[in-house]
Amino acid sequence: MELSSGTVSPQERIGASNAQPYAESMALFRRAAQVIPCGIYGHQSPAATLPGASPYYAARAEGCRYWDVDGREYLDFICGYGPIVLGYRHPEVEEVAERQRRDGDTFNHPTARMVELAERLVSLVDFASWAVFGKNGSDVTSWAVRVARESTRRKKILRLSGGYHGIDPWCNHSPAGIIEEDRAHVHTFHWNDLEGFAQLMRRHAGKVACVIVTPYHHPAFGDSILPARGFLKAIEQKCRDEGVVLILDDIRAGFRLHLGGSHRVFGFSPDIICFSKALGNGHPISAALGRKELRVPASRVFLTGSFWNSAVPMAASLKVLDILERDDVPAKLQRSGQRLREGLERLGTEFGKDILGSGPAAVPFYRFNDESNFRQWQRFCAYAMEGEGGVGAFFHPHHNWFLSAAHTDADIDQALEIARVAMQRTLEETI
Amino acid sequence: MTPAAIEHLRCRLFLFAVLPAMDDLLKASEEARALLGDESFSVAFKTRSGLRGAYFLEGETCRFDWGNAAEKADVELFFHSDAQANSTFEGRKAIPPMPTRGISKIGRVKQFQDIAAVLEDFLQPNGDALRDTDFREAFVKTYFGIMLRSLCQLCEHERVSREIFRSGPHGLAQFQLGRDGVPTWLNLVPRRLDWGRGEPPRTADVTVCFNDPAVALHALHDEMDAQAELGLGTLEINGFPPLAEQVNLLMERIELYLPRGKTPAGI
Ligand SMILES: Cc1ncc(COP(=O)(O)O)c(C=O)c1O
Repeated sequence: MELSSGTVSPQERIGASNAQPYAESMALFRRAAQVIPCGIYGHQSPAATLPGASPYYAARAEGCRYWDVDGREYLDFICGYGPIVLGYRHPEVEEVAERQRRDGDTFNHPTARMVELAERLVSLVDFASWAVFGKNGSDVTSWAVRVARESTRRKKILRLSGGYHGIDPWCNHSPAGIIEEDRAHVHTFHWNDLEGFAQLMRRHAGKVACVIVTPYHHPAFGDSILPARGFLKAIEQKCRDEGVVLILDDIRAGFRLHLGGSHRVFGFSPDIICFSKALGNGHPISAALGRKELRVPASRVFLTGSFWNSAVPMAASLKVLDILERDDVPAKLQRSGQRLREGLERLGTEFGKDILGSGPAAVPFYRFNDESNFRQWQRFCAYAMEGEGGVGAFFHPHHNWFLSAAHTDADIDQALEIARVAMQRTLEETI
Repeated sequence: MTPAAIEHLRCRLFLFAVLPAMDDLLKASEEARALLGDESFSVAFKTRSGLRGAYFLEGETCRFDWGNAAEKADVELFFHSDAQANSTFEGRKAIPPMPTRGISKIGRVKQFQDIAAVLEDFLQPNGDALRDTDFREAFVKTYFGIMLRSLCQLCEHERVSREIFRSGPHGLAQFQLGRDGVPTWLNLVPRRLDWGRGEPPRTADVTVCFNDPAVALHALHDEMDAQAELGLGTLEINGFPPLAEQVNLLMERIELYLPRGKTPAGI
């Protein structure tokens, strides 16, 4: 039975146990709130994490750790929400980036890095014969959809209910600033619901330009769900039958599960694949790669940005890909992710409070098994962030976590120790 | 939606969401209580479109009923159209409704109208009034009650809201002014859609706590930078935030039918 009325917040508990652990963050945020809508907007908004009970501003980072503006240290399990796949400030990547920076970054022209990177990516992705680049994931998912429309001369976009593909009107989840027409040709189906998908295809027969999927379902505030056997292959087949372009949004999982794209893990083959996040290990870059047949429509759909061809992120990406391959990073992430998962599961069993992990171990989603409203889990994460002796573990309460190659066994074990204390403190509030 | 359907929905909101707020008003406003005096009085409204609501006023309470209890009201008034009812409720020029019962007590409808006028003023306070903490709390409570009653109506009777409601997320949301404030809750669950004040029937899936009544006011008037307030801690959301977002989304629809006021400058 829970003793609390349910209205006592993590903020209050943290406030009671440790005076102002995030004072500097808060002071900065007060200034921010005067001059920036939301203070911090988007996925990094405190509102999306644990307002008042989590750090708001970072100061520096190294490997799998970062320090906030209050000087508190965190073992990081969010990795910048995905980009950091090798660890913060990876020396080899930064050396290459620094060298390129000395030569210049943004010019009147692209550099040779752009050609090299396109060649490298095309060689890694089995179905691809071309690549283009942007900065953020949204740049390339939205562009890919336009390429599909150009290629098919059709209007409809089919996407997953609860999926995320970026900030543009066709796909973001917010109603603000959106007019009905923006989404008039966007239709959703449910993950693993092949019949629902087939129905949607029938209803819009001859009008569907593309189907955009993620390699597995990774909603925020919900368990990750792997594809049912044959689900993605059946979607692929249907797309082939109907001349529909199949887009794989591999922005979140890309390069963490397989170097050649996550479709290789789940046994299907898309027409376009979108990458970002891990591609630059923190340097801003995204890419879309596609089949030969889509090259001409791709050449027609306008694509550019003031900084999209800048050389430093491309140089960094080339090095990132080398290291991912050389060190077989996906296998390493799987191993350390598995160590974390087993450790958390053991902890749950020991305390009689199951921790449910879902999705791939390298990109896992965790919550307490006996609640779906995250109330206790939020407290657990708040305590984990607060940590022990000035070192916390940044466990996100509502978003999937990310492992990086910088997480050693010792780091995972230290995080599990922090989790143990957080668990004790969380359960002290219940009998 | 056709103009007639919009009028019908608006009438529904006046009858079932706005006028029941007289209960909060009588508790909060001496002026309203003075108008009622020591006597009890009840009035029922009926529309040709089939809507019916009755208000039993006594002391500090206004009991609302939409069932057969309307037949026990002292006076019953009939509107030939929803538009006629809406014009009347909004204080616009309209043909008066037809008394169908209680002609002898018809004079007392004036008393009801006067109290309704106090309610209207109460819901559009000036900045000075809102600087008074007690008033502000009473206002937020009253306004919030109207919003939640409206929301429940829309979830059942408006297509888009119904779809939003059906698609989820579902669960119990709790709202309060201050961490020790009296909770108001909304059970946003199909077939169990309901709201109330006091401890909710079970632990809420999300608790939204306004630590500053001014922020609550801005929220009600849709003038709040929620993310900034959350970061500052003047607003707290614990539990399942998508449910709070869902409530917000539904509340935004109310404005299509009952325009919200603006917070006076300086609050
Ligand atoms: C699956 C997926 N697609 C697209 C995006 C959008 O990427 P960005 O935020 O870089 O625009 C994200 C970002 O989290 C994502 O996870």
